[in-house]
Amino acid sequence: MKVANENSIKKLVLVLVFLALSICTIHAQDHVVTIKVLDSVQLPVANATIRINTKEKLADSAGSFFTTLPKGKYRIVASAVGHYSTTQQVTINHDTTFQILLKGRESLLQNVFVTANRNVLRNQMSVHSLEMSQIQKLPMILGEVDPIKTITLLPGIKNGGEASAGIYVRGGGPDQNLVLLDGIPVYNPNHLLGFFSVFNGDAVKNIEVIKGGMPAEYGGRLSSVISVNSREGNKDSLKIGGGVGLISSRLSVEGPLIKKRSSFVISARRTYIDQVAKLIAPDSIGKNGYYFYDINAKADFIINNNNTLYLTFYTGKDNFTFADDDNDGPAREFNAIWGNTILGLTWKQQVDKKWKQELSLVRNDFNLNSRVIFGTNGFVFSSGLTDHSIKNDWTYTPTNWVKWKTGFQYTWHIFRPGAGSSTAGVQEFQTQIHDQYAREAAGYISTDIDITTKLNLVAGLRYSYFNQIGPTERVIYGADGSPTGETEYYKRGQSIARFKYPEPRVNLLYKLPNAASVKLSYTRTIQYLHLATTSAATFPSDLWVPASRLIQPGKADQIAAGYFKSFRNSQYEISAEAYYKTMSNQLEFKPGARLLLNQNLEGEMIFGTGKAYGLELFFQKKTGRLNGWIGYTLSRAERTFPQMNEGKSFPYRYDRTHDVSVVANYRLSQKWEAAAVFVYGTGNALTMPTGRFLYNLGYDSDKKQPIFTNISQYNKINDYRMPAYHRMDLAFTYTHKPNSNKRFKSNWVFSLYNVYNRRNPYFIYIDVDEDERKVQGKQVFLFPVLPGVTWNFKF
Amino acid sequence: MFMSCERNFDIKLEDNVPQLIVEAYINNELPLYNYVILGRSQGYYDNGFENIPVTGATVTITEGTLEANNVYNWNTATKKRLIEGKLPQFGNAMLPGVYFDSMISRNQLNRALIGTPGKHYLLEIDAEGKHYSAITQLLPVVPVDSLTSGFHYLDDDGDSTLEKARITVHYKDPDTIGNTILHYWRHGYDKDNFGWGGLGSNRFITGSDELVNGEYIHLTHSYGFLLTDSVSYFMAGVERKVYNFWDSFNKARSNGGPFSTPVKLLNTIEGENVIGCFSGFSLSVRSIVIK
Repeated sequence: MKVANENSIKKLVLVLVFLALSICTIHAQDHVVTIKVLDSVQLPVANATIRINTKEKLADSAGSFFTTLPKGKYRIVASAVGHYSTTQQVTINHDTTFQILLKGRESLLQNVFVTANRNVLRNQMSVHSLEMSQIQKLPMILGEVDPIKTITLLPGIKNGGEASAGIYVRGGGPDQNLVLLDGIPVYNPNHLLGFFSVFNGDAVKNIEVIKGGMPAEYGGRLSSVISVNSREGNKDSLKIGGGVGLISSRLSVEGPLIKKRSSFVISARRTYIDQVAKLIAPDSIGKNGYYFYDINAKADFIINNNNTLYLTFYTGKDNFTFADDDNDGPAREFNAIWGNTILGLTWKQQVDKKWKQELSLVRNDFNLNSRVIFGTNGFVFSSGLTDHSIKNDWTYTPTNWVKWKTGFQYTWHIFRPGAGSSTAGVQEFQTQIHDQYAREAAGYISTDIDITTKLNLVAGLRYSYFNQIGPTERVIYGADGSPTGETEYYKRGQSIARFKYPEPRVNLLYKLPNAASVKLSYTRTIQYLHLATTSAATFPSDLWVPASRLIQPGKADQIAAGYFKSFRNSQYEISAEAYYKTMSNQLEFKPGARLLLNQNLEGEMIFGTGKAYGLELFFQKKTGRLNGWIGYTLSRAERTFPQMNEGKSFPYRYDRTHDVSVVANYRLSQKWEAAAVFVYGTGNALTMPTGRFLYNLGYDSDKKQPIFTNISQYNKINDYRMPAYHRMDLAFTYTHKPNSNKRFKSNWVFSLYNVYNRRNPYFIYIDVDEDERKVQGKQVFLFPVLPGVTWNFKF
Repeated sequence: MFMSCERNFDIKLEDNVPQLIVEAYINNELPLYNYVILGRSQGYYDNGFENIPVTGATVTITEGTLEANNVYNWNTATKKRLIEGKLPQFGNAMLPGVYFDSMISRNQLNRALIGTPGKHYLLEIDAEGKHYSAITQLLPVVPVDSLTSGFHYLDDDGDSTLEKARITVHYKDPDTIGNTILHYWRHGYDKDNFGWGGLGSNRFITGSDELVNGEYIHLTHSYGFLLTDSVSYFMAGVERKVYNFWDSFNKARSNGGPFSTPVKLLNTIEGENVIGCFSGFSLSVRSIVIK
């Protein structure tokens, strides 16, 4: 015991020396061992579990694993989701690099979940990973596979209700999630006001959500990292896959660019409900219509054993038209086209045995163009933003018990809050809200140290910097929103507002006997961009606005503690996590604030604080004929704004006291698989009126009766609870010839959404019928029981 | 776009704290339209759809100026008491909760309360043992240059087809930024309607000039007027807090649906448990016969 303590102290002293001097040593007799985990077509297998004799560790997302081992013989077992595990006996007597090939499971959709001890061993707090093979089996509305929707089945991650776009992680807002596609931020990750996300299941390899204990390399958002990784193409032969669903179809083409060295994959999808509707009911549809399409592409090029290039491309557009051109009243037409375009180039390099680095160049665009015609009035509005970023990350692994990471990110933001023109009869107004510019930068250093064989520390410091600069012109407004008549002009590059903050991150892992562990984490996060939205949903017209003189950056501090255990040879895993989070500089808009073409957007904002705490329980059965998970969250999220609710705290709209999700897969036979999802959540918090009164009174002399408008009187904010939300969905997957050796493979997915036809409230309101002199509460619900069918194929 | 259904649903609400509702106006053109209506709010599910009048209040309006040191100087000689009275327009029936200058009841409109552009006005109310007050300003008048009609269309309401036209108002926005304007009109055929709430049905097209400051404006309203209609047009320049109030009124009355957040009507009245606005309207009045 004394010896162990001395060793620990020695390591700790060494760590401190490392921190102070950044000088690293390596035991002279250890050899550097590099393992590449690949599948049968030479594609890296992400996050494989590597067991060396009795010690388990995880490979990274690129299938690489580094360690140092003394001379000797070792038994190495590699396992990963969707693959059979492989065992190799290896003799280490010098620095070694070798590959482990994992054979994929045969069926088109994988049958079992295999993530051995992942959460127990990994020193990352509050993380969930899902492979597409898991997601594809779950029932989804109208059969549309959606990775973003699926993560809301995990504890601590909530959606906003039926058909809601937002993801709410541990009491944070929907703009507080760093949604990444291959490391590139996606500003508007939704199609169709949130019914579907922009991520096409065919193009995605896996998705990971970090709810707390964010590693130092991530920043810029307060609440979570939602990292979507697209898959690489087949390096051996040309493959085509796709699916035909009720409202959309998908097609993917992949294959080698240079055999074994370079591949591409292009996945595209388009909805066609507009085209179907036009065929079925051309008269009633008229000019109305909606569709979206998106294209994901990825190419990789292995320059040599140590250098690989990756190119990620995404573009998508939504096109929505509403036209009411019958002759009853003025003609109305609304058309909006919006979407993201993302381009990223990444160079991954294994510099030497200890050093590797990743360099990324990124361009990111979001644009909205809309047009409204109402009678003689026309209105055109456009907005958007563009980012140019560079990111460089370095990893240094001097020994098998310590790893260092360092890097920097720099982003040049251009915000286009809005340009509009309107025509009102003979008048034309041209309007341009001044563009805004900002530079955002961050540097970080972190270390991952095994202080003892049982205690691991991941400690990092991120230092972020944000600078809003000219050229721009600001109109100065008074407290009541009136312009003071003064304007401020900032020259190109002139600083308007500057912020810099340290963001410490600490994760501690202590391994307990019998495949169990406890973890502790502390995270500070800073967010310099806010999403300006007044509505409960997210709209494409919502604006991202930079921190400025008036808008302070959001800050969050979170502590979390958890217990993790796997048992029965990793077949089962349980975890319990508790968290407490405080947030400052939270932003709300004054009720009824005007966001479009408002030069004084900042004047419409009010600022407050937030608090969230909760307990998350998770039970997962990973393998076997029946597998799946049960998640439960008990939580509270609240906000405090001096100008709202008389300064008293009030529940956040998406405060959900109880949240339950049950996900189960069951293999019925060789050909049939069943999946079921059940969700339950406390209803959203709403502000409901307490009273009503008449205003804008007049008198109709003809009818001899008063003229008035009924106005609602409100008291406390979010004091009313919607009814609880619950629903069960089922899916059945049929594979005609599961063991066929033929190239062409296909399956059918039959799904039922909302099996027991629960009328979950989409929204509720009180209808005041002045003619009938009746006041009646109403509930609107969207989706009854909905069948879906999708045919997937691959050849 | 997708299917949606609706059903009745029992929504249990918190108990309501009744508020005094104040609707008060001062303008420079229409003495009959300078009045104060006092009402009371009620529980959401309470019976009744009429204004619940607050009667017997002491209501006064005093003219004054804002001095250079930002202090109001109220001219007590101008203080007018408004009383609940009988109007010829309402068959000389008592109008509870509606307070006018007594000169109006006596049909002496030329001696009744009228606003002057540039002046400030103090509203004081003593009702049910409590005191309330509000201040508004009449801004310099933004004159309407002219009105034209055009943009004809056929309005088919299912029973008949009527030819209608739209009004365009022409005026020069002042060079100072922050001018806010409300637009009202009255048809020839319902000219006997009464009150700001009794004017044309599309009456709250609010506008602020941040985006069009100093421009010559030709604003065409979507609302369709019957041909030969004789329309009185009132363009009301208002200070920002009055504009903000009526803007919140527009939002509050059209509030609802899944994507909206509740809009609380703003308040410009000082006092306990009160909601309302003292609206100073600097009117420019024109009329037009629709062609």
